[in-house]
Amino acid sequence: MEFPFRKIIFSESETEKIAADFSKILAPSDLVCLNGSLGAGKTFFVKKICSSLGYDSVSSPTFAIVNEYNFQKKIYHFDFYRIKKNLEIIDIGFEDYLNDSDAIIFIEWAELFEELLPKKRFLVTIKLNDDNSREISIDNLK
Amino acid sequence: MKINVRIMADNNKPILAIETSNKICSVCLYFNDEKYSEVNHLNKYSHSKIILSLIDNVLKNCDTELRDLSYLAFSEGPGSFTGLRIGLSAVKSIAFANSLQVSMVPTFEAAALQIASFKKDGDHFAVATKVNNEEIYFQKFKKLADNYVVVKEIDIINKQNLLEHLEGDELFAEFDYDYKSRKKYFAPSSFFVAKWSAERGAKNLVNEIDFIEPNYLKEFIIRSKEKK
Repeated sequence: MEFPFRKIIFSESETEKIAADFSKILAPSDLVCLNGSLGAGKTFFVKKICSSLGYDSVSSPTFAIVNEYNFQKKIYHFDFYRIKKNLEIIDIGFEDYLNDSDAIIFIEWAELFEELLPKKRFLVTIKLNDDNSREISIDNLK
Repeated sequence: MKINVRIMADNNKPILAIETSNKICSVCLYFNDEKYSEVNHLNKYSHSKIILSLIDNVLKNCDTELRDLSYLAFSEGPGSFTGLRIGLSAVKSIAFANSLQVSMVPTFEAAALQIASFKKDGDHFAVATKVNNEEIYFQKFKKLADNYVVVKEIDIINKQNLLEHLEGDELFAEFDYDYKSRKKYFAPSSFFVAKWSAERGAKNLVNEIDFIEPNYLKEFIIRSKEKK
């Protein structure tokens, strides 16, 4: 997979394929930020990455703010959708999560609090088109 | 009328010192340099589970009750956001329940006291820990007459500029860094947190425990939003 990556997809299985390819390059301490409107498929994308890594019980962290998955690879799965102020994120020890070099971190709705994010990160944008196709783009920011 | 009696520092009573600013959770019951009980637990993200049993452990080892303490010494940071909160929550609750004072110990200076204990007079050294992937906490010291002096006050610097800040000094850091004289270091042991407070901190004991906070050094969110 080469960055910047862009692809228009028409089915779930295509998303699955991109997620599987992307999961191969992810290593502990990587940060993946996901942006896209409601229902664009951010959680689905994370789910599919995790299942490629061998973990199937991923659910949306919209309510819990962060889900932690401990299996062969440690994963922190955030969702900033319900957060109103950036201090709420700091209060749950966000910096300590970022400093954990053993974990891969996913953040849905990351654009809401961009000021909290390190410069080095993967940015996944999922755009829902009128014809129900989706455009997935992945950038490797440094 | 309720009278709140504070137990004042007493040299004959032990100090309970707590260090939680990094991966090590360390607790020490310190009577003096010849008599103490220290336990160290290195397993990240276990501080909240383990801290009270470690405290219980050192107290039992020395047949001491919380009410027998002189005061509490807390390694105030800078360091892990969550770690410091866990440590200070334990300290505050023990201090509140037993009407004890708290000595706030600067973490890097306690580290300097520890490092100075095995360095030669005149040796220069620097202590650093990670803020995030880009920044580090950094302070420079020199050993002088069995103690340390601060050469450069603690600050947050960019990791990329670390080499020029070091100026050839030995580096004690927990993060990986390609440098000829780097030693692995997490945090001061709680023995040195207690020793620092016994030697330097007894004058500034805090009564108003409601208002004490860890020293994070940084204002969170110092990074400004990138312009698009």
